[in-house]
Amino acid sequence: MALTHSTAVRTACMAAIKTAAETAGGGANATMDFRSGSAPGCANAITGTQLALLALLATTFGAAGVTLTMAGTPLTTSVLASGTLGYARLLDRNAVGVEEANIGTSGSDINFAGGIAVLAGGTLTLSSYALTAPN
Amino acid sequence: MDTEKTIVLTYTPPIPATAEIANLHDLFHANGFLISRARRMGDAAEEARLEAANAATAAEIDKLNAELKK
Repeated sequence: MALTHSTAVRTACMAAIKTAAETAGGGANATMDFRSGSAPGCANAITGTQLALLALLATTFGAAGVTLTMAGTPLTTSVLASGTLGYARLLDRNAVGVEEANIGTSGSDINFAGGIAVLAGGTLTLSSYALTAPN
Repeated sequence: MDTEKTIVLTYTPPIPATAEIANLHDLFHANGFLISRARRMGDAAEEARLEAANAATAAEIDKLNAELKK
């Protein structure tokens, strides 16, 4: 039988992400930084070219439960530079990484049916961002 | 078991100013599929080649857009 977690533990896991994103820091809100190249891992320095930076709300997520849902969606930003999306990193208010998601056309955390090459002046829209803690 | 995620992100390209620029947009975006495929296959050399081609296409688009603004 697979390892399982209690609802309380799963909720605490999601609450930790919410707290990390929303805890006051440098004054700005949390952001989603879209970069080219391979995801370096959240604990490592950010890499690649910044293709877009999406400002998130001060209350970045709704109430934490087993599922955590981003608030204020859809959120929109302009593409700053032309390139190929590789990953997105959720940054807290001190611009410290909270989590990363790979971007691809299939089989990734974020899948773009329309391709992953974006042109400066285009628009990125985050329509939903929901996480569910492992069972 | 991994965290389950439902992340929906969409991209709306800029509106091309001319038919020539529209063709370059199409080329750029189509190459994005090939880059993603090369990445999935672990073909770093092909990915780099396609990335370079797309960088050149993006530069050409920028050049044409700049000329239109003159």
